[in-house]
Amino acid sequence: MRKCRKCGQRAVVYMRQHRLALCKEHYIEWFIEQTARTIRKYRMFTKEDRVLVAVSGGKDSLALWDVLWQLGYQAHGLYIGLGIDGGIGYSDRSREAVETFARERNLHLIVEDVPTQYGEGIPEMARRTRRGRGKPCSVCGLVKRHIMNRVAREGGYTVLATGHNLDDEAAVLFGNVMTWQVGYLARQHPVLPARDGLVKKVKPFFRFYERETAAYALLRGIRYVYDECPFAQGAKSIYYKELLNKLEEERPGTKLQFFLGFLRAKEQGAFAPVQEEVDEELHACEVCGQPTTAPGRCAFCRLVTPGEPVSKPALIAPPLTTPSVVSETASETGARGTVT
Amino acid sequence: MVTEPLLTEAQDNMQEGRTRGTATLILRDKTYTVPAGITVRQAIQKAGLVPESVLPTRDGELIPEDERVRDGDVIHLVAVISGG
Repeated sequence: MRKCRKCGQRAVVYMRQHRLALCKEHYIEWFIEQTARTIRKYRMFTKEDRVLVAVSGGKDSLALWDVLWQLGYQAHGLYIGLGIDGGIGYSDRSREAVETFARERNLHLIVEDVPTQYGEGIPEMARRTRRGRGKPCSVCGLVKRHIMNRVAREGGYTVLATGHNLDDEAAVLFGNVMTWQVGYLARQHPVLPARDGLVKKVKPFFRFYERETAAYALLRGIRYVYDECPFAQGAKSIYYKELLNKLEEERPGTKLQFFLGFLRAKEQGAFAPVQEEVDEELHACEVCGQPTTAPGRCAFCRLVTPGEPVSKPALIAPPLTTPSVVSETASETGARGTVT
Repeated sequence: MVTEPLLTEAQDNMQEGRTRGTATLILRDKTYTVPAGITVRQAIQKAGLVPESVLPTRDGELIPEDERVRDGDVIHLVAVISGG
């Protein structure tokens, strides 16, 4: 039986890629320390920053909020109710998990409910538009990115943190490599600096395997929503994760090398942004004030109010003139890209 | 002398986990019966699953992959893959 490298007690987690076995107590300690290290190493944020954590009710985002709370960061949560039922009350259960988590730790939670604010949930919005070709994931991504950035700006948050793990990042990278999406490769990074009305975005868990964030959530007794979003079934990203896990089984460390090698290649100048995107001018949406690539209303405002201005008060933002990021990847559905 | 082949067979069976009964793995709504006596990691593989994609638990507690599966064990596998 494997023993904890730190104390010699029975290990409960063994990370093959690090050849590291740890007991419950030392695994939790290691996990928190590694997160702190990643935040410092990649200059994600400091104790002076006001961090908004996007929490879905799943293991990764709740684990992230838990770790940031323990490390003493000023981290508030943002939950976005998407109006997804799927026969399992998905959104209701997610909200309940997040609210319980926040209440138990006395943490500040901001709740934005899409059906309440915009009159319909994500599935209805998706049905009404052609965006996403019948799958609501594209609409969901657009709505979440918009709301996250808006809430961060309105609330004076300097950083937006999401719970993306290494499996998420490796799967996105794999998908973009498979189709040689050079533009997306140029934009994929665990730290996206603030610019032109877009709040800085960071992924403090990007070096953890998904298995490790799940282990942390279990060992910390975090009650997260175990069921997947009903619309995630058959998603390409899940298929890619399964493929990568098979590789990982044969060769431990494959996923980590794949993604870290990609980041090193970027540092050496590979996957530079294409010139048209560098030169692209961003504009403030005439309704909400958030950045958009085309003059007029942004994609979100066109989605929620096809004919009329939205009722939300417009943010005052200066015209945007410098190059910026548009969206991080085509295949992502969650809190991953930027405002379009 | 007559016991020797039996002992050998018994040892073989022990290695294979055949004489030690069976254990049950549960992943979401599916159950898998595996021989006892093998490691949790081997049991997951025997069920045709990828150990990297699941976390084994017993009575809600995480258990190490190198632990031996016992007769009558019920091991719940927590799927770790999420997203869409």
